[in-house]
Amino acid sequence: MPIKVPGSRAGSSIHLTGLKVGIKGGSGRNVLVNLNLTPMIDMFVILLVFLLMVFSASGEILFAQKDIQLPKAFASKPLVRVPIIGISMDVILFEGGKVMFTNGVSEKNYPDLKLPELTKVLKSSRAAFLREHPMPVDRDKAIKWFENSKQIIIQADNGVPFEVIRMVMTTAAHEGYSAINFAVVPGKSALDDVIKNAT
Amino acid sequence: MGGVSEPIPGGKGGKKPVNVELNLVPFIDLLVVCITFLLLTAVWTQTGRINIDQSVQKPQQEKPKEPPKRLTIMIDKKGYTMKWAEERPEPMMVAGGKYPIEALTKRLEGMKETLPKDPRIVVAPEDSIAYAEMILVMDALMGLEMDNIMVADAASVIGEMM
Repeated sequence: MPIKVPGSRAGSSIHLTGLKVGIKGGSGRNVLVNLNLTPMIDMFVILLVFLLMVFSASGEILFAQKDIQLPKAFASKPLVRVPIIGISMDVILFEGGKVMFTNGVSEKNYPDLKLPELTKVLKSSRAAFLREHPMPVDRDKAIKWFENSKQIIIQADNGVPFEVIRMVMTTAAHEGYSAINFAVVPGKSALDDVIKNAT
Repeated sequence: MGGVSEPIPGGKGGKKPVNVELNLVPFIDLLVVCITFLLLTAVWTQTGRINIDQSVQKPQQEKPKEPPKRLTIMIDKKGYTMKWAEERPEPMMVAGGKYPIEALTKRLEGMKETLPKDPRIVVAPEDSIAYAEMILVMDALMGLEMDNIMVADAASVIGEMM
């Protein structure tokens, strides 16, 4: 196929004289402007330092539930990633999924101190854990595995009556989750000043 | 800006310009990537835990023959009742609808020296007591490094509080 000389292109008839002159520097103002990047870099560095300071390697373990107001505590430990039971004034949740209503959870209604719906989900969770993490043969590792396997977090609202907490704790203990971690918001509680003054 | 100006060879007097513009584009790229990653992985809600040994006992209405060596703090509508081993129970009454947590903390602080190392502590709220009140007591205990805590039902300790 022979090579052809390209014809005129679309728009070639438009003469951008002003622009050409501007680029060449023939006019009074140059169209190429140097952006001052210093403030932007300053802002980026400040943002980066702030984000690095608040960075948590363990990630977000507990997601805030709109109807669960956690109590504040002065002396708390960092959370670990284990199954979570949420208890609001209305519902009991497991890993964010609704399990049963809080209303009616009492020793009177469940004299054997076991909540059947919660038992069901805890059983399946435990089975999944055992399937995915079988007990190690090594003794030390097995002890550590056992300690981890019985951990559970209870994320309960401030106003939930103790009877509901007790029923949930007993149900969890029946299913092998006997190490209970109560989720709290760390920070200055009402006790902070009292303890400081006392010591 | 945004490029390195090449030194002009053979300038005036054969000197090279000393002002060099750094290429900031890769630096800005790196900053943007880091900020995006950190924003995506940021933890906005800080949470902690108060851990306990689970031991919810069946109610014991009868007074036990030999009182166990442990510090028991019962929480009911009237306030706190604290008892160490065979000593007499110490009630701390609710005043103005508020639980006397400050008085309890001071009392615990005072008796801490007399207690054995790492004493067993039972926090026993009544069924109607709000969860926050139980956490408040547990927080006070943990603040005083008394963290060998277990939670029980008030009905299971009422016998020893008599």
